[in-house]
Amino acid sequence: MHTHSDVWVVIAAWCEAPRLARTLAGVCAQDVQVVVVDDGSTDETARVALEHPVWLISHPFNCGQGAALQTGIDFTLERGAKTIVTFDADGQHVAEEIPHLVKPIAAGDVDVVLGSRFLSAAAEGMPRARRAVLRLAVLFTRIFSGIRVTDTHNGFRAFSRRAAQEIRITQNRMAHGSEILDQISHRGLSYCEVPVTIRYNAETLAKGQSGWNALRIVSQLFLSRLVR
Amino acid sequence: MKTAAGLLGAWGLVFAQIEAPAHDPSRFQFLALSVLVCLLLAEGIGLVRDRTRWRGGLFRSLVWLAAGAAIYNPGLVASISKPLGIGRAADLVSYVVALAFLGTTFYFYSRYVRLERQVTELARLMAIDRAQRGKGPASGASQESSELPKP
Repeated sequence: MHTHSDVWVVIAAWCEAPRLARTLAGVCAQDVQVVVVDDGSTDETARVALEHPVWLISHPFNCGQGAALQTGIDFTLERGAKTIVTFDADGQHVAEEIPHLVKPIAAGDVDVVLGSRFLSAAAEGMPRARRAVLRLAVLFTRIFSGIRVTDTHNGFRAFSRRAAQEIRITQNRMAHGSEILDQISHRGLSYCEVPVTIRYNAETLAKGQSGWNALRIVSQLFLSRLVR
Repeated sequence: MKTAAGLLGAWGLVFAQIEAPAHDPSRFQFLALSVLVCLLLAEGIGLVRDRTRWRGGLFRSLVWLAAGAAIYNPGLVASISKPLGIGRAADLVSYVVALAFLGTTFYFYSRYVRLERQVTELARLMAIDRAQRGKGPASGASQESSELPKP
């Protein structure tokens, strides 16, 4: 597919070769431009990406998902993107929901659209422990950032060009999700949530957030307030 | 430089005022003071070789001198701790070490974070500069470098 769409999808991928082809097949079928940021993978992620009509940016070493997303966003802004979508590489998001996600931005209603798994029917296969950690994260975000959302660590989101230019991800690793919310609140960007589907399976769960990671994210956010 | 010499001179006068301990120096005191004298000499030699770094050298020299004074006459620490309301000299040393540890940890963490951000920015610039275009089934484009015209 050759497209001149103003909607760009940024996919940060680290060692996602077994899952990336399926994810890209779904995303490339949409009327979007795609950039895959290979975050220092040691497997065939880059080769798999180059078999699809996408742009590939390769970090020379593993910098983290937050850093990879910012790299992709910088690249899309350089190329005139009007709307930027972040999408996980492991196939837990549904590509057909991209038009639904970008609709409020295209209509000029908001600067940022956040996908929420809790606004839709129960996320497929979500374990109870994961649900509890995410609920705690929602509470923490309300206290820490003063922003009311129902899903704090959903990688499926969309930014207007203005929002993407204003937000700067400095948390290289998993705390970037909370940092984005913090910056939305701090910079007074308008936002809304839309229901999205998250598909859980053994592979995505193995790479997802654990309770221990949640503690690390909290500590990184507190330290980031001290170190600017 | 003059400031540094003045401060070190002032410290020398303070040192000269310290009463000698009643007993002979222990082996530990002898060894520790020998090491500190060597460190001070090294700082002095470094200062002669590179005068532009006198601030760091002065700071380290003051630390070595303070450590030397405390080791030479432990009663000196007690005379400082009592007016501060700290009963034992050892407690004062513990507090100072704890505060220094926290300060040092935070200093190095801050430097680490800044360095990580700089390295990431460098990696980002390199990666964007070398962006590649994949070959799509329908686009027919071959693998090419990122030489598309920028808007």
